[in-house]
Amino acid sequence: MTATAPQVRHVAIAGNPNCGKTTIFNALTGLRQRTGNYPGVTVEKKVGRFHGTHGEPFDLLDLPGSYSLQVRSPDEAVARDVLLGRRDDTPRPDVIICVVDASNIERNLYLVAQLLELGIPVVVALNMIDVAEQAGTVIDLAVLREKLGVPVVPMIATKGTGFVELKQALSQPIPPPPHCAPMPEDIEFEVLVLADKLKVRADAARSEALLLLTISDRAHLTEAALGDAALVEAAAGARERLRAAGVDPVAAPVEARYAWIQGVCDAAVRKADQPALSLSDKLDGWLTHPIFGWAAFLGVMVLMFVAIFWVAQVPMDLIDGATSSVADWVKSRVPDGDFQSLLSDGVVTGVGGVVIFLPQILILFFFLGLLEDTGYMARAAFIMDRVMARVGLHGKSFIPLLSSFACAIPGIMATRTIENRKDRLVTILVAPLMSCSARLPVYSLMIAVLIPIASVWQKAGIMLAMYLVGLVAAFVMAWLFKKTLLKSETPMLLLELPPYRWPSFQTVLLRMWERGLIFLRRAGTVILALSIVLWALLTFPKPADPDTTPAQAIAQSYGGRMGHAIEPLIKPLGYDWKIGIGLIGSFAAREVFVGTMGIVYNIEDADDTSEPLRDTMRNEKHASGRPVFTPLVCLGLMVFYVLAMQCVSTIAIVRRETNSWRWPIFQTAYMTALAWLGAFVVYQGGRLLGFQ
Amino acid sequence: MSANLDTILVAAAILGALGYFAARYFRGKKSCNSGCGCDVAKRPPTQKPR
Repeated sequence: MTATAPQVRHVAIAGNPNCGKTTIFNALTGLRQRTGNYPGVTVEKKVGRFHGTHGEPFDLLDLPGSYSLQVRSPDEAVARDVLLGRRDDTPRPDVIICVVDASNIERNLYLVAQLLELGIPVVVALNMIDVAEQAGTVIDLAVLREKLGVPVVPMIATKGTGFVELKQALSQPIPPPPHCAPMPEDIEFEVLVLADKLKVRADAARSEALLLLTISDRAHLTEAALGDAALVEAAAGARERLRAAGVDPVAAPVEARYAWIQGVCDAAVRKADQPALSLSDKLDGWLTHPIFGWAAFLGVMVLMFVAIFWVAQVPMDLIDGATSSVADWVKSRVPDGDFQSLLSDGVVTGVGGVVIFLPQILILFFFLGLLEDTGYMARAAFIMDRVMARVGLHGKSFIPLLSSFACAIPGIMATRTIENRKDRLVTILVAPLMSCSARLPVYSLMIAVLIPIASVWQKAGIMLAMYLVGLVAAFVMAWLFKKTLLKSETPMLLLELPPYRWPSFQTVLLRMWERGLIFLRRAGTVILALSIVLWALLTFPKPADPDTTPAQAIAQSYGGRMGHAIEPLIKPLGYDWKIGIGLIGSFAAREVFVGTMGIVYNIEDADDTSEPLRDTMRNEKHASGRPVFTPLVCLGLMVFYVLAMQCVSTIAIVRRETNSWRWPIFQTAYMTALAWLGAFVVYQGGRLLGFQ
Repeated sequence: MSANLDTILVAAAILGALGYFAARYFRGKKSCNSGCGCDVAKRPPTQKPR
């Protein structure tokens, strides 16, 4: 007898933004999840596996948050296409978990109303029931279940409440929704006529036809989008007939759904007459205040950077010690020669020099995750919008700019939500000025060289200053672009402030884990390969004279010659040719600067046992005996890295997003010029003021 | 270690590193490798025909 494997059921999790969808997804799937992209679009696809109460397997798909199936952005288009079974790469779900924010039930029920029209079994996860209760909202679950005709599971996802019941509901056979919002008769008739003409599965025909009939975006009604001229004509004809009968084909279904929602809420939801001022509202009085809001924002940032230096110190020392031990072990085991130098001076130093910053990267993402999960990020967006509007930046630019603190690439991709082309271009042009996580290793190294015995507060202060330099530069450049190259009106920002909530540490830790893996994968691939190439450039050609010192040999190498070639350009910034090698090496990726400096000084001091790079750099002197890394050089280098492009991947993504080489070339040129100017002002200005 | 073996190992490492970059360039990117975690493929959008 052979046992057949249970069939995997496909479950999609849908809901409005900020309703706790991702928390539920993470709690159900844990580490059994993978993140990718929907082919052809830059929309993240998260899928994971979990098991029901009887051990039956479910594949869970986390759909992008959306308020309705009427599409306004690529994210919402993906959610709609998956639910309608339009995508080849994703099966149409067998069940939909619709997460509803109980404290905002009327608005959230609009998506529920549309999902019920799809004919797919739905389970409503009524999340944040505690927040609703605190606001004085009482929901009669039995009535709500009866009115919606689907299982409704009350949940507090952040506290782990309701997951057993949710799994139980999914393990039961769930029939398709028995009813949904009734449409006006004229609409219903035209929907039936249109559904007949659709070449889609029968259970999706009604909802497809309804969407086609009521779609407000003309771009989605072209023959190119639908691939069927007769269908476009039929939909247009139906709309004409409806208008002639005095029915607005776009507004009437919306009104019908809201009328149905009103009926559901009247029966199932009871609200306090005068809702008490919630803790969220009280906190917002302070945290979005024009003065205290900024003070709180700066306080949060300082705390984050202090933690980055303070907490990360011990693990960083451990990694540093391990890197030195590995390098010494290689030197003691592998016979003398180029291969030994490649391993110890190139691979171990290059990769280890970058990996050492893993703890700081993890702490940065822990804090970013925490701020996002508690709902504080939306407040930060609100505070920043006042400044952004003054420089002409679109309100929607905040999320791309915020994402760019992690990495400019998702930030630039996120600009797709900005409809106006000029506003989008301005955001793309300034997004790489936000200090991304790849700059963190450079800042940390330079701060360690600059002030070796500084307190964590001093270090955090300098780090924060660098982040602010990037932010100010982005705003100034955006203002300049909006006044000159890309003139346009600045639209208003409509922003939802979700209630503050206790963060889900699982979500935050999962985010840290993902980012840590990405960082290590990058260190093991791109950084490793670059370290080998840089070592080769700094080792060959070999000097003919056997008495040549390592310092002379490196000066004659290909890398040394490149450094010497750009020396006239960087001398006004106080840099020598060895720093020039670091600048060239890090054009591919900023953090390579740290590894390159390690390789340069390690090859040069080939006879020494490994010592921390910061000490080597601090002791480095010009031929005249003057230190190379003076405070002004260190500060200038940091400012250079704040403002310079130095990232091939970003250039490639700007090329793809703007569909031309003109903008990435312009962006690289202006950022390099700005970086040079910034470093020049710091170095020469500082010298004029009597600093070193 | 003989000088020949030393040379062979170094050459293999350098060729491997260069080969890695060449492969990334020619195979059509499966990952942008920028640290952002995305894996944007160079394929046109696909939509199911109705």
